[in-house]
This record gives sequence, C-alpha cells and structure tokens, in this order.
Amino acid sequence: MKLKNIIYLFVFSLLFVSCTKTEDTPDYGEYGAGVLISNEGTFGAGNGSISYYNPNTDSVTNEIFQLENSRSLGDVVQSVSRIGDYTFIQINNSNKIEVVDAKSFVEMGAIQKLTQVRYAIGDENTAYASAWGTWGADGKVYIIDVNTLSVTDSVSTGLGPEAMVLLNNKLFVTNSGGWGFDNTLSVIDPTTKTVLETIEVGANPKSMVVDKNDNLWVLCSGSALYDENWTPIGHRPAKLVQINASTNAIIKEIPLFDEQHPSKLAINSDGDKLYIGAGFGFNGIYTFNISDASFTETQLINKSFYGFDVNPEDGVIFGYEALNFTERGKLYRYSESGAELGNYLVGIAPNGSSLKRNK
Amino acid sequence: MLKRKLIVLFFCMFATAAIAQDSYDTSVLLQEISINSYRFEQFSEGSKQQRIDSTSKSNHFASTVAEALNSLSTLYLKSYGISGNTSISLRGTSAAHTAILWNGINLQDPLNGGTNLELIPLQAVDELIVQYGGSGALFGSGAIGGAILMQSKAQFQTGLKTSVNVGIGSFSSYFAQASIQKGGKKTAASLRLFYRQAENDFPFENTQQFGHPEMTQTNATVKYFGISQDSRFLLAENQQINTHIWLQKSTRELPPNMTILVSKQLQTDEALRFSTDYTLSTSQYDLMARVGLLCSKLIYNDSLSRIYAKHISRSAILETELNYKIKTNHLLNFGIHERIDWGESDNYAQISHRNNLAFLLSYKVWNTEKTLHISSSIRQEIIDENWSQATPALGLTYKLGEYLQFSGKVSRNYRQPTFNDLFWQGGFAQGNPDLLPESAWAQDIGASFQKANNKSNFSLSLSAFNTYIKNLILWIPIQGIWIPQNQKEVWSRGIETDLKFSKTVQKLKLNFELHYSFNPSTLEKKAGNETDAILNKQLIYTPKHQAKAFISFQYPLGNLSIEEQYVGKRFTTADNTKWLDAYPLTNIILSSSFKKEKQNWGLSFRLNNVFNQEYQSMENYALPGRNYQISIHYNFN
Repeated sequence: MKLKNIIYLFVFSLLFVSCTKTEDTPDYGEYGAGVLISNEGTFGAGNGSISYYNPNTDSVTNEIFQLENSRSLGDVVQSVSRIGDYTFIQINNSNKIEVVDAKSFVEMGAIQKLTQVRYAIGDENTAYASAWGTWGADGKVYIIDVNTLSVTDSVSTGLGPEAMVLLNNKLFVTNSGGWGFDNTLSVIDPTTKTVLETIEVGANPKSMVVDKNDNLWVLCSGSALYDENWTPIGHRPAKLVQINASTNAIIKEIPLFDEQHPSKLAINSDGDKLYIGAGFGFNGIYTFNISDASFTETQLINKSFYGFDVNPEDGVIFGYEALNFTERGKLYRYSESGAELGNYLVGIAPNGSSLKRNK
Repeated sequence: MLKRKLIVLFFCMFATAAIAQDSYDTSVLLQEISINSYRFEQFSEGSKQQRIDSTSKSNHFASTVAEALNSLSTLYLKSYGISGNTSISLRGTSAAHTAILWNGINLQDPLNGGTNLELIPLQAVDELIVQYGGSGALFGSGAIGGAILMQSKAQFQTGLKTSVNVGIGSFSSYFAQASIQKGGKKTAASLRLFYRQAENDFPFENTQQFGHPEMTQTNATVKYFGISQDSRFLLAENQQINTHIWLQKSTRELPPNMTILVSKQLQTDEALRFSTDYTLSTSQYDLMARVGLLCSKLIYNDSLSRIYAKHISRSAILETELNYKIKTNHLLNFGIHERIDWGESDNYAQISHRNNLAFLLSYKVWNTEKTLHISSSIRQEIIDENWSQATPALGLTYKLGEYLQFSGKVSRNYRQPTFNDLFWQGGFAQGNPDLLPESAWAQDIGASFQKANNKSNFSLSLSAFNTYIKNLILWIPIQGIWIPQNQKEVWSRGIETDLKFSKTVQKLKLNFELHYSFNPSTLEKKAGNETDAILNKQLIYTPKHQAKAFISFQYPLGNLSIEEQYVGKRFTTADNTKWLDAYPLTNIILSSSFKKEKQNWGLSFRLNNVFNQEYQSMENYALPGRNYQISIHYNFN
C-alpha cells in the first residue's frame, strides 16, 4: 500500500468519525431507553425487583437493580419512574425510594421514611411522591429536591393518595381510599404547597391520564363491600370521570362496571382512546373513545393482568400477569389491535412499568 | 382462671410426691411401658432415628429445640430473623409435614399446621429424638417428612435431685432453669422452671441498604417463661399413672427484613399442655390409656399497619391401646385414638372443629435368634364423618453377622388440610372445604455397620429414601380470591450417611459424629397458574447438601466440644435462578465441673459462630455474628 493511500484512508477515517459525531444519537446507557417493569415481590421477603425490556433485542433482563448493585431492592416494589437523570423506585413496605442512575442503574441514594410510598413523578429539579402513611390513614404527597435527593416538604391529602398528574401548574392527586374509603381528587398548588381544592369524583379513584384536550380522566375503581363476617354484601360501582383541568369542574361521568373493579387507566398516543383494566381479580383490558357517551363492555384483551401500560410512541400494550404472586410473573406485549407480540418471564408479581424514554 | 386452677393442682401433686413415704416394699418395678412411646419403640422397624445424647444436650444449655436440632441433625431451620418465627424442613418437606410429638401427642397447630420449635427450650424435655421419614402409620396426619419426639418423665428411686442453671449471653440475653425432682419407690415427681430473655440487639452490616450502613438489630426482644411438671404413681405392681403438665408463655418482637428499617410486630404465644396416662401390664397383655388436653393462643399485633390477629386452638385427646404378646416372638397392638380440635379466629365464621377418630393396628414378629424383625402397621382415621385414606407401613430389620444390619420400609403417609385451608374467610381469601388430604408414599432402605467394645465404638450407616407427595395444598388466586387447591406434586429423595466414633484412652473420652445428607427435592407437577420454568426444580429453602459434625473431648476436669455445620446453597426462587450461598458455621463449647459429695458445680461457655460467618437462613433476614453464652450450674443429688 502506497503512502498516499494510507493518508487518504486516514483522512477518510477522520471524516467518518466526525460524521458519526454530527449524527449525535442520545446516549441512553444500558437501561435508559427500554421499558422498566416494577415487580412487587413477595410481601415480607424483600425480593421485589425491576425487569428491563429491551426493544432492540426484544428480550427481558431481570433483577437489574440486584445485578448492578449486588443487593436486594426492597419489600413490595410499587412503582418505577424516570425523573431527570435518575430512576426512582418506590418501595412500599420498605417505606423508601431507591434512586439509581437512569442509564447505568447504579445506586445513587435512598430516600427513607416515606411510609407506604406509592408513586412518583417529577423533573430534574422537583419530584412528588404519594404515600399512604401509617395505617394507610395519613395520606401525603412528599416534595423531593432531586438535586439533593431529600424531602423538602409534604402536603396532606385524602386517604391513600395514588396517581399524580402535574398540569396547568397544579398537582392533581387521586385519593384511592388506601385500606379504607375515599372518593376525592386533591388539587395542590406546588408553589405554595397547599391544597387548593378537593373534588369529589367517585369511589376509590386509583388511576388518571390526560387526554388530547388537556382534560383529566380519572378511573374510580369502586370496591366490593363486606359485612363484619367478610360476607360480600354489594359493590360500589366503577366509573370514569372527566375533569376540566383549568376549572377543576367535572365534564362528564361514564359508568363502567357494577361489580368489577379495574385499577388502571392508560391512553393512546393520539390522546383520544382510553384503556381500562388490570388489578387484583379483574379480567381483561377494555377501550373507550373519549368522545363516546357511554361505555360498551367489549374486551380488547382477555387476560387477568395485575397491571398494564400503553407505549405512547407506538401504541404497544404491555400487560403484566402476576400468576400466583409467589413465582415469576409474565409480560405480554400486544399490538394496538390486541394481537399478541410476545411474552416474557419477569419478576414476582409485576404490577406496572415506566415506558418513558430518558433524554 | 382454668390456668390458675391447674397451677394449684400441679403444685399439690408435686407436694404429694415430695412428702410421699415409701412405705410399700415393692421390689418389682413395672416395665418401662408407656402409651407415649410404645408404638414408636416397638413398631418403627426400618426407620432412621437420631437421639440427641446427653453431651449434646448439656452443650446446648441455653438452646431451644430448634437451635439444637439445627446444629446436630440434618434438619433445615428457616428462621425469619433471630427472634422471628421459624419453620423446619425434614427430608425436603415443609414444616407441616413433620409431626412434633410431646409425650406422644402431636403439637402441630390445627389452625396452620405449624409448631414453632424456637419456643421450646431444650431443657424442657428429657429426651429428644428425630425420626426421619414418613411415619403416618404410627403418628397419623402430618408425619410425612418425619417426626420429632420430645419426652419427659419422672423417674422412680432417684432420691431428691435439684439443679439450677443461670447464665448470660451476648446481646443482653439472660436465662435461668431450675428443677427439682424426687423419685421414690411408688411415687416420683419433677418440677421444672425456665426463663429466657434477650434484647438481640446485635450489630450487623446492612448489605441490603444504600451505602451498606452498620446497623443494630431492632425489634427483636424475646421473653419466655415456662413451667412443667411430671408425676408418676405406681398403683400396684403392674399399674402406673404418669402425668405431664406444661405451661408456657412467650412474647417476641418480630424483626423486619433488612430492606425495612422499622418494624413494630409483636407476637405472644401461650400454651397449656396436659396429659395423663395409665398402664396395666401383664405377661400376656398391656392395657394403656391416655387423656390429653392442649390449649394454645397466639396474638399477633402490628401497630404500624394496624394488623391484629388472634388464633386460639384447643384439642382434647382420648386414646387407648392394647398389646398382646403372643408366644415369645409376636406382638400385636390395637388402638383407638380420638381427638377433637377446636379453632377460633376472627377469620372463621364460627368456632371450627374437627373430630378425628383413628383405629390402629400393628403387628411385629421376629425370629428366635432375634436377627430378623418385621413389623407392619395400619392406621385408619375417620375425620368427622369421612373415612380418610388408610396409612399402612411395612418395615424390617435384619442383622447379618456380628456387625452388619440392614433395614427397609415402605409406608403411606398423609396430611389433613389445616383449619385455615378449610375454613378461612375474608381479606380476599377463602378456605376450601372440598380439599383433599396430601398423600405420600415413601420407601426407605438402610445398611449399618457397628463395632463396639468397652473402649471404643464405631458405627457407620447409610440410608436412602424416596418420597412422592401428591395433592400438595397451595393457595392460588382465582378471580381475585385466594383459594387453596390440591395442585402440586413433589418428589423428595436422597441419601444420608451417619458416622459415629467414640474411644476412651485412659482418662480421655473422644466422641465424633458426622451426619451428611444429599436431598434433591423437586417439583414434579405445578399449579395451573405457574410457569413451566419451575418444573423439576429444587424446592426453595431446601438445601441439597447438608453436613453436621460434632467432636468432643471429655476429661474428668472438663470438656471441649466443637460443632461444625455446613449448609449447602438454598434456592430462593422456584425456578432456581436465585439462591443463598452455602455457609459453614462453627461453635465451640467448653465446660468444667467440680463435684463434692452430692454437690456438683459447673461452668459452661459456648461460643457460637466462631469465625463471624455472615449468613442468612431466610433471604434478607439478618443473623448474628460471633456470640457467646456462659452459664453456672449447680446440681444436688
């Protein structure tokens, strides 16, 4: 090879290197791009875990927290959320949030003493975590400084605060009732840290999404009623409630089921179709168009999920089957039309996921 | 109120015994025959048994039965922290598959099938025997993996004996035991008291928290107090009565797992156990009868999550057996056992009860040289109005030459569903009254070699076993309600070797024991809602390999003993993708005693976990590192 050719090759390779640089694909790291699945584990065993679904390889890696940090994650992993450069893992019975680097899943810190913590949302500066409190009777939203990973304040809510949405500079929190009963939505001003309003929606509101018109949809799960001998004596029905996020007024209510209690609400990427389903003892996933006047009971998927999510990018449905709650559960993926795309073993009692890609 | 009356009653009994005048000159003592152990002693051919000897017992001067068996036998103890609940696994089965017999009465709780051996101080029993393998024909429901036999008995003609033992240990633990017994020619009585308390605030590195902080175990305080009384009366040359009373109360804080920093769980267990038996013995036949009463109350209180649970169980037992001695080489035993269990819980609609009427028949024959013994037994239980499956057993031992012995056994065993399985309601769970009992066939074969003279003793035994359990009960969620179902099948098999060696060289007595077990125990049929990944996999918390060894050097001046255990890796997930690492554990015991006439003073020191091994028996539950116990004891004979 002549020297000239070598120089050409050298120049060409320089060009190539600079070329890839200008393309600048974001660096998601090992765990930043795919789906993080929260697996509760067995109550009391401390064996909750996070599974990672990699869309590029269409495969699942289990126990990624244990893998990267060589220790147990905690007792009853309730939820997982990507917040700023971090991933927050809410661990209900360990009363803590474990914080890891979103890309590498290496531990960054733990926020302790969040009694019966449930869910978390937020950005690179501030995070909000809902927690049921002692006996499920001391509902709170904790405000967390994401830079220092410490609690700066808290706001009391109704019983069993669950899902949260930050919209129009207001923090909406569903009060699910916890171990008891509640039927309200707390509207919190995150600047003054006060409750602006408490909206009565329906029995046991557990899940909430925002539609294309920036209206809120709240799933009120309802609940089974028992007498003192645990004999079933009736039900509080399940319904959907649409709320104007500016005025906090109820737009419409859609009755769903009289005797069944779905616990999860999700929405498609266009923001006009709702998915309803999942929860202990509930079978199937149903859909509802936000313009419809009433709900028709047509199942999209017939399977008992403990939790599910819909990928906002491609509409793929991720269903989580807990099976017997003591051995590994399963992830099922479905197309928007409900056709199964694959199934995978995950951790014990999978209940939900974080589909959002990290920047 | 009942309790107070009983306390008064047995103090009276004791007083009677203590002042009894041995005015009757009875030279012939009744043979040591008791309904409490007779069937076990006579009809266990082909079963492996391990007796915890007196050296081991005295080395475990402050241990519970659970701790002692964990370090001396190949039983696996799963413990939820230092003061938490424990469950045992014998030959690859679960706690509900091991009968716990106190003077022949099964203590397994009718509500949940468990017995917490961590609540029973070793010093509360005179004799502790582990019977490996299925023995449903002898002990009825529950004895699939084996049985643990605890016996206590007042002895005749011992004179007055007293003993006191007090001590302290690491982590603010204090313990005391006292006993007094008097054995005359016709009356004997003994009274025992025991107390133990411990803070259990041991330090550990919390490897399951961010930054691995050094922490101190919290919420692990234990306190228990017990009193037991045994009496024995010789009514006539061939008739006697034994009574046994045992009262105990324990209060324990249950520690959290290492991923949880705060726990407020508290459990109180109270038990009253009473039995009395009568024996009439002639050269042709023995007539034996027993009345028993068990009461137990468990209160669980978690003030953090506001969970309060109270479980009460009561059992009444009436049993009678007849032995016929035919010629000189046949033995026939026929019995009727009646037991009623009552269970009370907030989760039952009403007080639940179960009537268990059992008919049992055993027959044993041996040749005139006494080299071949064959025994067969069958037990038929009638639960309420339903005939349950009969449990037959056939076993033999054959002695070949001077040193060799072979044994074999085939048996059918079963376990009734617990009250929780049948009657539970509420909290998204519902008992299933249509459950079938779990059932298992088991085969055992064994060979042993023993050579002994007055200076040394060597024995080596090899056992192989095979058990297949069907209709295992498992709670599974069906449309949002947890309902127990008969769905799983488990195959447990394995090999055990036991080596014993003792030798006396001048004033030194050397003792060595090694017990090893290899025990694959796998899931052969899964429940409908489980994944295939768990099929044919080793059961969780069931070590495939276990070895326990023990060596002691006894001088007149004092003893040195070393206990060594090795527990193989234990899977924590049913698909065997996660496990707890194997660990070795070493304990050292030093003791010395000084005798002057009838008085005997002693000092014992025990160092547990000498090498500060970090280990877990239940995932994420911390256990203490190196710790000690020291005790002073005094005996008067």
